[in-house]
Amino acid sequence: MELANQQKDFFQTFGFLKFPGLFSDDIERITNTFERIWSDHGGGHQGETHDYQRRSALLQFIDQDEYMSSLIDDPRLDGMASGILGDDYNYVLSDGNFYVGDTQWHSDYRIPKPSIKAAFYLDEVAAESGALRVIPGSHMINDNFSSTLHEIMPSGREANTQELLGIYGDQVPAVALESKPGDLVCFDRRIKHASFGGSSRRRMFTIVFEPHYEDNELEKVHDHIGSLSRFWCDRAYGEVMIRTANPQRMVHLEQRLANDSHLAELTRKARLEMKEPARG
Amino acid sequence: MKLTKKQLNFFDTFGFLAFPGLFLDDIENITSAFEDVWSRNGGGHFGQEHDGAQRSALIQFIDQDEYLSALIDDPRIDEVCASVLGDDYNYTGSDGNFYVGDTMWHSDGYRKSKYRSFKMAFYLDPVDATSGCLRVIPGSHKHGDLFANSLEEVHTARDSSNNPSDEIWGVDGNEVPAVPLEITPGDLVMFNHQIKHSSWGGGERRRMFTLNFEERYADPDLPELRERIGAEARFWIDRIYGEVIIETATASRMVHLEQRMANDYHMPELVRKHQEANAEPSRG
Repeated sequence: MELANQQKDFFQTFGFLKFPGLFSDDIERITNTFERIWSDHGGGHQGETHDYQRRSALLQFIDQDEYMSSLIDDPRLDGMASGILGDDYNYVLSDGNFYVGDTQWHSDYRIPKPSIKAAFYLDEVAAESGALRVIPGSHMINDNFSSTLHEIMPSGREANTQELLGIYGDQVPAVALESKPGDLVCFDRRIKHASFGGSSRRRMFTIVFEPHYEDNELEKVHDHIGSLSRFWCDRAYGEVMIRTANPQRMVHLEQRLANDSHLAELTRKARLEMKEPARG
Repeated sequence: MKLTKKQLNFFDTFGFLAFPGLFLDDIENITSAFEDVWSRNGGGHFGQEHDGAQRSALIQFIDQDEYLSALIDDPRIDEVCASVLGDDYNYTGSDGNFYVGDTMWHSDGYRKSKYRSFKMAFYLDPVDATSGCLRVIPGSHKHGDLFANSLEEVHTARDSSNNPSDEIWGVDGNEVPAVPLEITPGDLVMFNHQIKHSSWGGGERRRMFTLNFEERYADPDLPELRERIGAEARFWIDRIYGEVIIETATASRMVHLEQRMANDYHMPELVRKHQEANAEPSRG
């Protein structure tokens, strides 16, 4: 699936793209596999049953299953990622989630390079029932608009929409990307996003991509990989993802694999300091 | 009704503000006055009946009626304007409209200027996302931002394309990511003139009128102000304001009229030229 120039321009301008029904034919198998992976891990966060109170998250999610791993070989995902990031893009990571309730406004990060999150929602979600809401254009981090929003809704801290704008988070002007199972939603990770009104076991998993880094930027790759230690990952990817990779997939794994040698030690330290791996 | 710091932040950040029900008690009188002004002007564009096929527009709209002119003295308007633009703001004009169908994406003026300006809109019929309400792209008013600049293409391409958003982004105009400002008569909405806005799916006689305001210009920038005033000649108006709004002006209203009145002397000549070149005044 090659993206049209208009789709690329849409993504660059607004910071997201939606593909209704793109995986409709596969969603039953995807959903069954999603549930099986969770069952194999106790059904919730850190091997415990999902408690419906807090988000359960499982990192290297698709990496644990051969079929799910092969999603990144699928022309529908590969074409989207290469169309925006170039043919030599990196696969970064995947998380599987049971979301609970609201997710406040945030961006995943703010760095000059784009990075794409592809999200599969396995339950139907609407504006008031947990659909992703985005603020179009807020991914352009050098803009006044984006900077102002970042002051109001800084990542990693509580959004100040009430204090600064006089409105609740769910009243922030935004676009709700309502989704049915089988749709694919992709967004620039720098975009401000949130969700409101969702149930207490909202099934969603993501697959993240970034551009291939130049050799003189490998320190950044090294740092980004190190941040995975909070999820208690020993390597950049899961064992199944690596073991079942064909040469074509390896193009998208090799840079991060070559730069993850420090991760196991960082994770060892994290295990000493944290009661459980991070939930997000 | 002074705006709070939070409301000012909201307006500065997103480029618009809505005031649900602010004129609910007055909307019947306002609507009657709106219809009266149109009746006195033939019921549609340029003295002809509204034909339901093209937008009818009447400039110096509130200026033609004493009650409507007094809206700019009302604290719900005046204090909001003063909050954003300063106490010495200029009233810049008003238009009354029967809109027809869709209005494509555009800004009322996307340009670099140190003077802020905005539009207040009264919708006299209920409108929602698919029946002609205003849609805005939050943040698109921030001239110079990469985001706002990127969006400008959809405006400039209007001259060469029937569906510029499809050519640029592969989506119809009504699919462009935006926020609909659904309206019940009596609500007031205001938006920065630079913001990208549009409406989709409206009927053939959608009643709406606007009031426009700007910051007062500093003396060295009066040539820019005269240029802005001159652009209004396309509506075939010899003076920048209508007779009634001037005749009935109190001293406090005159604060908001006098700068533009003092700089509109070039309009009759510009109007004469426009009349020679065009069959009717501009519709927008």
